[in-house]
Amino acid sequence: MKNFYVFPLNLKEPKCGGNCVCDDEACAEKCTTWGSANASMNAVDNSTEKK
Amino acid sequence: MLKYIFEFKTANYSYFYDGITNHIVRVSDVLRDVIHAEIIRDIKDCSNIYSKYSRRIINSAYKSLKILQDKYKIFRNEKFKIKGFTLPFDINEENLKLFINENNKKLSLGITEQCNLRCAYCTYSGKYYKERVHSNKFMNFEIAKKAVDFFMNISNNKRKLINFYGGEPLLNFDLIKEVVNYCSITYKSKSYIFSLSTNGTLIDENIASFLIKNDFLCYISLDGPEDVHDIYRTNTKGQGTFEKIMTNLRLIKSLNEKYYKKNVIFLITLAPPYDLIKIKEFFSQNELVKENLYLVNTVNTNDTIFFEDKNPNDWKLEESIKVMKEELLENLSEKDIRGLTFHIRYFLELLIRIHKRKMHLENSFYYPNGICIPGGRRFFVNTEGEFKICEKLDNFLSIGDVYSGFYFSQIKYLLKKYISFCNKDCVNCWALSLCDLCFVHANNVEDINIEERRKFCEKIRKRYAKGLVLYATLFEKNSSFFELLTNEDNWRMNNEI
Repeated sequence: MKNFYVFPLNLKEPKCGGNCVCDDEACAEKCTTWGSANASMNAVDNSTEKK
Repeated sequence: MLKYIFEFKTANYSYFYDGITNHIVRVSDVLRDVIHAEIIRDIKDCSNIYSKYSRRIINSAYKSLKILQDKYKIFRNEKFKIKGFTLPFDINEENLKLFINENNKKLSLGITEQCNLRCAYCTYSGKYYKERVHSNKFMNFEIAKKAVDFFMNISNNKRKLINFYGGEPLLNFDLIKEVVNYCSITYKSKSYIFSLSTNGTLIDENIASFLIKNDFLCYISLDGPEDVHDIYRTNTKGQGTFEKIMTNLRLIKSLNEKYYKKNVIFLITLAPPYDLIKIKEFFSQNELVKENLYLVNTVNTNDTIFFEDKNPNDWKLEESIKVMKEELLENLSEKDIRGLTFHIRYFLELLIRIHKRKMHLENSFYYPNGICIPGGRRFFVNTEGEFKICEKLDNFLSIGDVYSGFYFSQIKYLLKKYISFCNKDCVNCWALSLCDLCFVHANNVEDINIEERRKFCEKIRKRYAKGLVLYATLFEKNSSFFELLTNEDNWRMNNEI
């Protein structure tokens, strides 16, 4: 392999400029329930942290 | 280690993520060693490198490092500091109004704080310190009318959405009918749609016909097969609700199958013991649900006593995720993408967030994590007519009310205070460009608080550390996978808007 490969970046600036789910056009519809912010915290596997 | 650099590995390669530029770079072994010697400086004796590689290979790695520094601005001087955090516009009333007018597209009406169920994991069950509990508060039409009028007048967005939320909103079905009727008379020329977040147990033929007639998007909570769903989703007598919901789903389907497939969307809440495989199989195999769209959430693990009697040793989350990751990796070709809906839904938000990360120009300012502009795209109105940032913050400071509109001084205060948190903490964090913490995480009911938010910083870094590994692994397997993912037409199962 070459010494490095730089992953492509999304060059389109989101409307509000942030990292929030609001970048997504479908955001308002997606965030219908309480769980959304929570889902983003727990996605992948942080819930596996033993209590 | 440079504070903005995060190093990680997949099974095959070494990587660096640069929080300043948002670049992910895969590096050869020799380049990794050179970076450790020259940039991270944790290799004291560079002669070790010269014993491992030929001089020609090492020289080539040094040239590569220079390209990464000069062209891509990665691995900059350890003294480099970002300027700070800001919004893309000055925080003043005029700009906020402009943003709201252009972008606000969702009004959530919390039309009751009562519910006919007593789901054990519910945010409003009394097990969450910061949240309200069920109460007999119901919104009246006067409040709802004022909220709708305000929304219709401030929003120029062409796809307006009015969502009915609770408690269980169907306990206040008369109000829903009144609002729909009012809009149909008063706002004939405006384009809007309705949605409903419901537990699905109260839907009878009358209600179903109404929802169909008015083309409601109908979000119904359904956690999986009966033995999964009924663990937590119970009525006031502690009885499971699965059968009742399935009966009501059959009813809607029998009345209008096209509507059912297009407009009924399931909300899955993953909770202990997190048997994701069983849930995944139910949603891919059950005739009544397999063609519908669903969204996946997990039960809130923060600020709660809900988990006190749960035994993590019984949980199946780790093994489920392992299987799902393997399946995801095995099935990355275009033709299989629809079969991966559950996997995608589970991992999607994180992966898309990483994939769609923005290019940062050198020395630019940074956006304050994942905060929204309060009132900017959506707002929640509680039973008493107070405006909240969203339904997740219905026990938090108001940002307006139906009588006065938005409190711009409050919105400015919240934005500026949150930005001050970022300027204090995030300037030293490699995850600053990915972090999606927001007011929800800084909320201590009375105000936003930096200590409250700090509780989540390590979690965020862990999450993105894992997310980057998964992202890079998927990218190694099929780099076009993410283009397929971001073009949601490829995997959305119906006409979700």
